[in-house]
Amino acid sequence: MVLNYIVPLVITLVLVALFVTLCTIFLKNASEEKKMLPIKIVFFVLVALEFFKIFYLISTTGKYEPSRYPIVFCSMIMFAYPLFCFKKTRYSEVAKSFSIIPAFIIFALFVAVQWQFNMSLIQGHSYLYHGAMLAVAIYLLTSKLYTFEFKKCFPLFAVLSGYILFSTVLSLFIGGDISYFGPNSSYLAIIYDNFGYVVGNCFVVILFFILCVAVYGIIALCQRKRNKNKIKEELQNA
Amino acid sequence: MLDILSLILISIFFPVIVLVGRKLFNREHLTRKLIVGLTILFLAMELLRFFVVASYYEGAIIPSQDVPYSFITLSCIICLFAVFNKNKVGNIFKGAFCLTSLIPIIWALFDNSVYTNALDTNAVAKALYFLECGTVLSIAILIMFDFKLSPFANLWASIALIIFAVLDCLVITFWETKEAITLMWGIALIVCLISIGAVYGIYLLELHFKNKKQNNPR
Repeated sequence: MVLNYIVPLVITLVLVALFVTLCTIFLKNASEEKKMLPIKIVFFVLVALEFFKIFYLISTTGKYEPSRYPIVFCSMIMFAYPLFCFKKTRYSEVAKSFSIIPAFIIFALFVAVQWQFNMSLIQGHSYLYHGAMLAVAIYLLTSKLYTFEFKKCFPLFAVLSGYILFSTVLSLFIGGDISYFGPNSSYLAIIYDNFGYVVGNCFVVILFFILCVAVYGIIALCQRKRNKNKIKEELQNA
Repeated sequence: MLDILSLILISIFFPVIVLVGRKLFNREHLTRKLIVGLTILFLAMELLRFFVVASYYEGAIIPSQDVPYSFITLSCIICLFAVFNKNKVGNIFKGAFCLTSLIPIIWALFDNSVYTNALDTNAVAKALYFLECGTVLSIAILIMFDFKLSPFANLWASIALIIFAVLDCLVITFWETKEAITLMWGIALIVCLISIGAVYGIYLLELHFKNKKQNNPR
């Protein structure tokens, strides 16, 4: 348990902390384009890791499983990076939102089940892969490349629910499990066993909505309170 | 034989239909819109082909020898970079994509395993492959009409083909799907390299006639 779970987890968290601290400090006064450089590097590393995973798993197991397709929930975050780190488009802010909250959810879901598995090359790869996504999510916040605004939670929710719909339809079409949202997924088995598959996924969509609104809502309230206090202090000083 | 005939007919008639349509509905920026539309269609068909093949297997677990990977997969990636990248890198990909547009057809002629699957009894995946070949040719022709290819286009196309050959060797070695690289595979590779030069020759010829027409409008 210690060697297989706690040690790799601690190493991952230390690496994430190092990445975020170093990048934030060294690029504190840099332009937005320069601040994007670490994310670009992470993107290329993730693409390389994805290719390595596919080749390695097919060569060792002799089969290609749906949970290894590059369209699972974890890989989708990787596809969001080019939308904001290479060129600014009208989808950049949504892509940034998609790279933050889902990265935290994915890392939490990943960590929650890893105690069952023994350490291996592919396990190490997974820690690195999910850790890199978490690092980018935290870096986006610490470098102030992303600011929370309540209105941003609705496009994020639309993208998340769109992905759930896509993976549900695709899972039913191919008869396999795409990501956490496949009918035989062990991650959401409690929900699917109690509600059934389709209703269960609707329940997951509602959970995502509550999560998005709660996170963005709480942060918006905190910001409003902080601004009010600032104005009050300024008035008192005046 | 019927497969080869269908492949050739679809590959010829798909671009013909697109070009006739372009001529009939001659509107502003139609070529560019067509290129974008066909690229999206190409991506959708490639994804659909993959999922159709996956759906034939229990739990969508595809055995390594049946993973639908061939030059057309690489062609799809090159096409996306070529069409949606407007800078210098996009031009490199445009050259590589146009000059390699015949390769999916040539590869399919030499090795039918790129489109056949024993479980594909309704030939859905096969039909999608044939249509994709037609789409690739249509996009390439439209790009050649609309953009000027870089003088190094030949080089980029050859590099793209060599990358595919290396990947294919890796797939053969790692996935142990087929015997070691066969003579047929080598011949297919050489024919593909020749086709790059041939397409470039046709492009230069078309450019020559276009210039001649512009200089001498009568």
